[in-house]
Amino acid sequence: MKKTLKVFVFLVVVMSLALAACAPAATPAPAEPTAAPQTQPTEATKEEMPPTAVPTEAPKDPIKIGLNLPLTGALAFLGEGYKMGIVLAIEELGGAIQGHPIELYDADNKGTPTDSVNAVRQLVDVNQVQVMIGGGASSATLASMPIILEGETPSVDGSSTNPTIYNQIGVGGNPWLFRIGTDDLIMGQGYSDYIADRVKSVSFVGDDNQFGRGAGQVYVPLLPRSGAEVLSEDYFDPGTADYRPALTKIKSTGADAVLIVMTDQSCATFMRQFREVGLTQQVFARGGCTTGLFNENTKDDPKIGEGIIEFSFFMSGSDPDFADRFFKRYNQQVTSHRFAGYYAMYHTVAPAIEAVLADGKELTPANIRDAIAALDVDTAVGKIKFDDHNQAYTKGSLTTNKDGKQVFLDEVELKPIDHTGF
Amino acid sequence: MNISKQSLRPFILPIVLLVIMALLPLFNQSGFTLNVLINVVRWLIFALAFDLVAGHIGSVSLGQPIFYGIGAYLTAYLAGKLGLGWLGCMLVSAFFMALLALLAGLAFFRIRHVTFAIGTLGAAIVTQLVANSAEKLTGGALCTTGVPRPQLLLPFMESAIKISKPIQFYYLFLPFLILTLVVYLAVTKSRIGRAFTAVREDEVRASAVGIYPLRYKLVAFALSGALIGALGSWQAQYVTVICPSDMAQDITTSLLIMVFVGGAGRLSGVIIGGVIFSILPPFLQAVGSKYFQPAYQQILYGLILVGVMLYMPDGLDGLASRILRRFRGIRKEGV
Amino acid sequence: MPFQLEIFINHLLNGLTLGALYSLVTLGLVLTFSVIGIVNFAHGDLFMVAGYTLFLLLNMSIELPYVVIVALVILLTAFYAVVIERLAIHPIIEKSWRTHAITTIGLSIILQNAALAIFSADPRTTPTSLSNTVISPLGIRISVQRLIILVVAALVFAGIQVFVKHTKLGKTMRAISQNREMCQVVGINTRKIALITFALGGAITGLAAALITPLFSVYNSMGSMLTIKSLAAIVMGGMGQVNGAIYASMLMGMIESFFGGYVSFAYKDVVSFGVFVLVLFIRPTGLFGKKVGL
Repeated sequence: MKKTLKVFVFLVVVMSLALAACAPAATPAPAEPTAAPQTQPTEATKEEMPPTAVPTEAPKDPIKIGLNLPLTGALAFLGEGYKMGIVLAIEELGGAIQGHPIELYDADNKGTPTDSVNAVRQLVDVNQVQVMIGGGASSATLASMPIILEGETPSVDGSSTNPTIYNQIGVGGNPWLFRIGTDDLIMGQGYSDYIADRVKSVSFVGDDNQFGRGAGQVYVPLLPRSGAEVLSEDYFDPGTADYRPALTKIKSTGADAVLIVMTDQSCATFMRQFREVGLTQQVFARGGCTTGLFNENTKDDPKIGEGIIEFSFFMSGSDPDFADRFFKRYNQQVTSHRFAGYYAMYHTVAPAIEAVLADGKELTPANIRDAIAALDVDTAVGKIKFDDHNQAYTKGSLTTNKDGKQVFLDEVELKPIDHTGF
Repeated sequence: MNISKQSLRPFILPIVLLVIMALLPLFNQSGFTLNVLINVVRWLIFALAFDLVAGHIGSVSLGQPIFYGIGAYLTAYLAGKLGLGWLGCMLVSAFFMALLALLAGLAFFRIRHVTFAIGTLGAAIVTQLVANSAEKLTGGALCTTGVPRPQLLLPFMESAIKISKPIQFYYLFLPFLILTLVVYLAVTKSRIGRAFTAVREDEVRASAVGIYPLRYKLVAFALSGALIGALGSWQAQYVTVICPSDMAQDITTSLLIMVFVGGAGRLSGVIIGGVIFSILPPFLQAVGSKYFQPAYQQILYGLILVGVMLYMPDGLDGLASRILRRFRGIRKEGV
Repeated sequence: MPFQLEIFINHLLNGLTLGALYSLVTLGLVLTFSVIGIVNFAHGDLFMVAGYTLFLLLNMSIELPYVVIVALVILLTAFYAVVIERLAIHPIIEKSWRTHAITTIGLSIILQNAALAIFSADPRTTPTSLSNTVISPLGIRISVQRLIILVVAALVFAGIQVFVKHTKLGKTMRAISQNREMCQVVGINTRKIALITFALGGAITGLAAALITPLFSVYNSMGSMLTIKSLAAIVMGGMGQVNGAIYASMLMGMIESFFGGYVSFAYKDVVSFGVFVLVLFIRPTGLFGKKVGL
């Protein structure tokens, strides 16, 4: 028995090591650096700290930043994306802010409410972080809000697009949570008008998760008000779905256009099957249908994504310089979540901490919160400046695909909107 | 009544456990510790209720999260829309989930073994998918939010205490664990428990000696459903958000691990499994977050699971009692 | 909406391909289930690993023809299955199904998270030139890849019938699935047959993955739902009946296509699992559960 145990453990270790070592070497372009960002945070904090700290001075207190993100489970790609952006931001900051080294703490919320409560408890009580970055799964964000309030630690959220959150933060009762990404309602009004100006009827298709369903709740009632009929509304489990039955149905409704709300991954599969069935309608999208990752996943046939018009926020086209830096660092294309992670760290948390230090105040969570609330930072996607509901109105963007590349069409200014009833 | 040392033995472990759990917050009152303790209580209740069916009558139901989820959604409605108090919500949830369990049991106990397990798993998936799609009823994938937190009205007090601090939640929750342990022991150490064992070992022989298997299966299922329904109601009031993911398969997986790795059908096994596997994941994450990424923590978790199954066939509880026996140098049957 | 024949035929075709796809995935599982009596909760994850293998092979610096790649995926997946059998299944093969279930759930956790650690959470696409080539017989557009799945599925099922009924190995497997103890008594090495069955199941899973993933994408947690659907098909088909499981998979594909197409996609899985649960209530032995064994 003892011997078999040893053999088993040995084999498992060898196999996982071999796999881990082989994977990057065997996959040339896209997969190569995936293992790198994972180990990066510790490297960033461990190796890059010493050079930045001035050797003559005593080392300054570290800045502890907690990540409340889905790092395993079905939404892991969101959390990973955030982390890639955050790690790049920290590297660009030199691993420290005014000599205070940055330490990152992960807490995996698995995208679920219960685990989100556990994650925030860990970050606030065990790791005792001064500020948190979160986002991706609105339900996890909603469940974590009472704990954030109780733990009195500010949290910057990149992309929890559920409109309900708006009414609960800032003057809504929770002054600790800030959103730099706009929600579905704020984005939805303008885009519904845009679509209704161009077509008379729409078939709606979304990912069957908080993202797709949340958008559906906004667009399905808004589109008819703007003057476009919604002929069908369907949701699909992202990834494995065979979309052909849905596409056949869309074909039978004969809608002028299709509005798809999907992340980069499912959109590529959907559009591939869309072309297979031979549909030719105009495709409007919201999510990840014109991103670099989408084009990477359809590079074998650039016609798949040709002509999709997408409305989104944090798109590579709105900050091409950052998109280049991101690609250089990871050899991967930027997506909105990677973008959001970078902006939450580089343009929100870092300036707030600098402001606290510039005022000569202590780096307490409360001081950082006040500094975030007072931020007024100009970025490529507009000002990061929070209203009384802790909402920043970063710009949206309209993009399309041409010859397998994203083409930036237009910037869209987003404005506060009445949230009553959500 | 003749109280011998032997008959007291089953009560030692639960009492020690409860005393430790009641005293722990005196040493550490951080929100994290209390949250971990609350999770331990939650998982222990869940695992004990699961074990009543899986361990004692041998029908492994992979559908227990149904009672948890519906209990939670029911509470969101009762507390949020009708303004029912916390205890009322728990009782009503428990009642309806016992009823549901009886009905479901009548249908599902026609099948057995693997078929029963996979059939109940199918039912769990149907329930989760309905919760995900019935947006008007449950909020769908966007979840039901804003469940009110409990308010405690004590005698001689003007206004109710609003329960919001982890320590308040914890001490309000602990009696529920005591109740569950009492129910578990009362059922399994009595005549009913012996009937359960008879049904688990051999249904035909059980019915031959006048033990009607379906009746006992229904009793166990309804008890389990009631406990889990009340637990779901509790959880809804603690987290304030309920999602279809609260009925996800992960919960069943955790239950299987706790009960079968710990030792199914034995109180000591369920307690060992429940405590270890509800503390291990947050511990790995809190300590390990700087060193490993979460995926590696999960891999380690999986390795432990496979390792225990391969090398400790009678579970952690069996291992513990073997070690104990070796120390004492005597042979005794496990608790 | 008026009845349109073209749409109906399209739904029928979609149901067929979806059913073929589910049954290819189920086939690998039902073999091990029926012959060895293993409830393998890591089956879908083996499919996922095979999918990643395809991804790696397609992205190698040397470009191999697709047929060679498919063959390699089949061989490698059979090899993974053998490794899994030797390390984790073999030691517990005589234990109860609960032990099997928990061990394979553990395996599933390991595989899913190893894939997460190695490949990240971003789904990978594995398009082949065939998945983008569309033909349109009778005005119905279908990709060549889909057509191949239909044809291969039909061939594989025919092959399995012949194998089980007319080869010595197949007959032995059938005998074991019917009465294990008896076979051991007459001197059949059941453990060796278990290993062979696992390899065969792995090979079929590899084939399924190599054909199916080009239409979709590969990601670490894709296996869970596949496992559950396969298990449901097996139980619905009548515990361990290979043909029953295939028919049940086809039925699930059809339900999803027609119910989704004509009623609601949100509830298509509710209905297909609902039918599964109902079948159990009405016929606890499953749709085709009369005989014992293969």
